[in-house]
Amino acid sequence: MSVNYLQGSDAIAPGRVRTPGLWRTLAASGGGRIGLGLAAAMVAVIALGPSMAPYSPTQIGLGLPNDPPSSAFLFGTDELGRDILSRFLFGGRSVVLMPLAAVTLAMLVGGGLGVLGAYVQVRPGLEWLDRLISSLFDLALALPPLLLALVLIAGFGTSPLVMILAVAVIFAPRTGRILRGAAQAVVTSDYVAAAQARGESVLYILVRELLPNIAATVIAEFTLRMTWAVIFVAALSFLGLGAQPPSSDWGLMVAQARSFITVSPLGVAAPALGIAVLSVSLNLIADALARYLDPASGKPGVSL
Amino acid sequence: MTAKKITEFLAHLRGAPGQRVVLSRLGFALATLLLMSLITFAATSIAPEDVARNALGREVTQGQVELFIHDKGLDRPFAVRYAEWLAGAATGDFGVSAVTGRDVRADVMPRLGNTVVLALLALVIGVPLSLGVAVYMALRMGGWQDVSLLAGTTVLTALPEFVTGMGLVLLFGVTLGWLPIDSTALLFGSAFDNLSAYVLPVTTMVLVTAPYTIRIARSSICESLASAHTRAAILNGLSRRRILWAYAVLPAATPIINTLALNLVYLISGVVVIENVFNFPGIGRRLVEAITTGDTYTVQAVALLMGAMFIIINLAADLMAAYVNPRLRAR
Repeated sequence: MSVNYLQGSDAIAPGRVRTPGLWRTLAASGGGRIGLGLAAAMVAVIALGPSMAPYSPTQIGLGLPNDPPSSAFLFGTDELGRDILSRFLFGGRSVVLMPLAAVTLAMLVGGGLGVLGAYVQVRPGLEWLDRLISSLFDLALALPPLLLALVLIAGFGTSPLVMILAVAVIFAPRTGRILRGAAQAVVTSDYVAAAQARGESVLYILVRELLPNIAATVIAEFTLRMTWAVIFVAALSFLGLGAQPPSSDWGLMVAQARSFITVSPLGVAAPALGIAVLSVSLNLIADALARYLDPASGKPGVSL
Repeated sequence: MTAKKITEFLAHLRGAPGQRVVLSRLGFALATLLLMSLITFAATSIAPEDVARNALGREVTQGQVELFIHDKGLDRPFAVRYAEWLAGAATGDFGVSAVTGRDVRADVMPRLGNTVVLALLALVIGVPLSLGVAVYMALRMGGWQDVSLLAGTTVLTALPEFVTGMGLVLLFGVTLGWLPIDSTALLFGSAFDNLSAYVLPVTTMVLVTAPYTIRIARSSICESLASAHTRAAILNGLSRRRILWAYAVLPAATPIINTLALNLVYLISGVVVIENVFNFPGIGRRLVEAITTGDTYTVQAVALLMGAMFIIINLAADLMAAYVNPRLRAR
């Protein structure tokens, strides 16, 4: 076996991320462009919204309860006389940040275990660890996801933190299995063997050798997981099991304005539309990324 | 006995490959169900103090809490309580809710009926509709009808259930005023009220599940339409109907059946959110109510019930997939 140390595809510096043409592919497809545009618009609304809001999102009694739209309150007021526009402008942050926290946690724990499992396949005497991790994933994957989240929330209390942890628990084995599969394809590479021969630590090999070489999968998996997490978390907040009052989280806002839908429909419509645009944009980006990873596929995702 | 005979005997015990698959999947499903019950019970009642405080409310003394714990036998070891609960659950006895004071089974059963009707209606309407739309799109592949429907399904797949549901409420309930804005009429309304109470929840379920089925079915049918044997059939002058059915739809059956099974599994969790959008009196709504009011016994009962349904449907879907795809049977 001869290895060309200068030009071989394996000959990159450890720690360098390789995702050739990712942005080009993303921008080349119509869906990807629309998704990126919508996502940029939503990020702008969510990030700049709080500084542009005319009132405080939680101030009660700014106007009359359920006042129709007027020049003072462009979207009208809710049942407690709070300004719906201000609540909308503040309410997007948790819709993105809570799923972000859950997915990050799931990827660190689940993805970490998955990549570790793939790596120990090439470490004689440690193969049992991979089998253990895989069986744990299989068992966890057989459980109904939403029900598991509801049971955990029922047991440990209704709070954003419990909900984030529950969602992370559900996503961890799913992410883990995908990243294990991706890492399996590169663990037999020469650069891994070389790092082993140099006596590098397991952590070094996982983070500096394996991770950069499955970066494209990690990015696509992250986006896909985020699209599902945004939907999942918004649904839990809508059920009253995520964000808690007086938060103006869009999911919670829809649920609270639900009882007054006939008198101030904008209280439901504005946050619902916000979530809709956000999840459609993420879905379009995830679809385009999936095509980047596997040009033959174009499978749409299904949530929950 | 020779070694060969022993191997043959063991093979006989293990059964034919088909049977073996059924048995191993059945075993896995049972293990999953047991795990689900353990997680449910452990998460909701590992701390007797929480169970008592949930049931009694905030304004109680420590003495009352301890009395409740002793009274309900919550001071016994976890394993004993779990075994007792599981035995009760197996016979349909989930105890009396400490929050509502009603027998949990009597409370949950009528709601289960409503939920099953809702899911079945969604299935009966959604499946033929999805397949019809998929065939229509496949026959006009690349045309404007196909492209716009494809864009529509892309958007619908991406939307959370409650956003789709709320959109329908805003359109048909608030703006047009054609349909009731929620399904509470089911609890007391007339026959007509009952019927109209189902329309929006069922429509939401169809709009949430159909797009995925349509996309998968469309691409499989497109694939089989483009194949050489379909072209040969067209050249042989077979009738249009026969070509569509025997050469385009039937060969695409495997992915379509897999997708339908996925849909069925999804409906179990989908009902939770959709019932809450419409205040539909089903078990999904009851589960969320029970979580919010700290009704531990009802949470346990509904979670176990829905978990069992999920796992059984998953098992059926697995076996069906193995049946239509012989390659899966060998494993």
